[in-house]
Amino acid sequence: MEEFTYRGDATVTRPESLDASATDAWVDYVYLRDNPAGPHKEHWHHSAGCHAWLVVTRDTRTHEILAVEFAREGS
Amino acid sequence: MSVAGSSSRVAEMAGLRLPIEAHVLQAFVTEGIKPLLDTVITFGAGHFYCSQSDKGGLVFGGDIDGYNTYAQRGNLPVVEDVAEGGMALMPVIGRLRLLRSWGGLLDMSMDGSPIIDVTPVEGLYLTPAGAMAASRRRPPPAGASPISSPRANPTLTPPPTVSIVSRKGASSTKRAWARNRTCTEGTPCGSNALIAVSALWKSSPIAAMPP
Repeated sequence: MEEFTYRGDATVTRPESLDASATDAWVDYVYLRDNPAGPHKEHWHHSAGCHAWLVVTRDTRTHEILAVEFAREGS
Repeated sequence: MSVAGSSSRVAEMAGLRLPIEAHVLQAFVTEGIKPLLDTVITFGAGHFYCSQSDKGGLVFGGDIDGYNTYAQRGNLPVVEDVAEGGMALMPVIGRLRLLRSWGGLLDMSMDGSPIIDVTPVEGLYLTPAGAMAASRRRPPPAGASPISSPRANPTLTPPPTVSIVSRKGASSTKRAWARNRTCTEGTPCGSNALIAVSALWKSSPIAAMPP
């Protein structure tokens, strides 16, 4: 059991609309990723703790944590 | 394009954004032992697979670490998970000493399915990228699919020009849901989840691109 659980890219936003016209936005949200080699904003869940959702900025080359904020306060 | 672990970065040079994330998969090798396995075995109740090398060492692994990374090293929770799977499936592995372990990058597609596709850039092909190591949906190795070897069989024609790959600023009609079209029966589906692929239809498509 890990204390924190990775919950994916925090830079994408779920489209509000379910209309067919929003298909492109849904493709972007579900599939397309910047996948940077460097600082990456991502969701982490304190799943074995207080259950807070966090937005962590982490360098994907070194795993260095650059910033942490509550998801509800950030992006 | 055949650039394990760097698909997104190379594609960016061509103005493409891919449905790909880079992840690390760890692998482990034990000391050499007498012949034990003559095939690859996988664990149906967890993430674990194992085979035996020609030199006698058991080569095994399990799930990806699960977070985006370009660092070619893994973390301990997955080592524990792999060890648990190994001990559950073949307790004999607990008597062996581990010689080494390492991490390699996988370009994972967002749903674990392989991608073999044309791109909006003429002459640039993506084939195949990303699949779960424990999945049955493995991509064919680079060079093995008909799409990646056009010169070997000049009668082959490129697939229709639809692509899930988007080009920045390009018309949205260039995106589509077409996936896995070319991973059909008869295609050699291959050895592991190593990435992908590719094949250049012409010699230097990126250099030939307009600015």
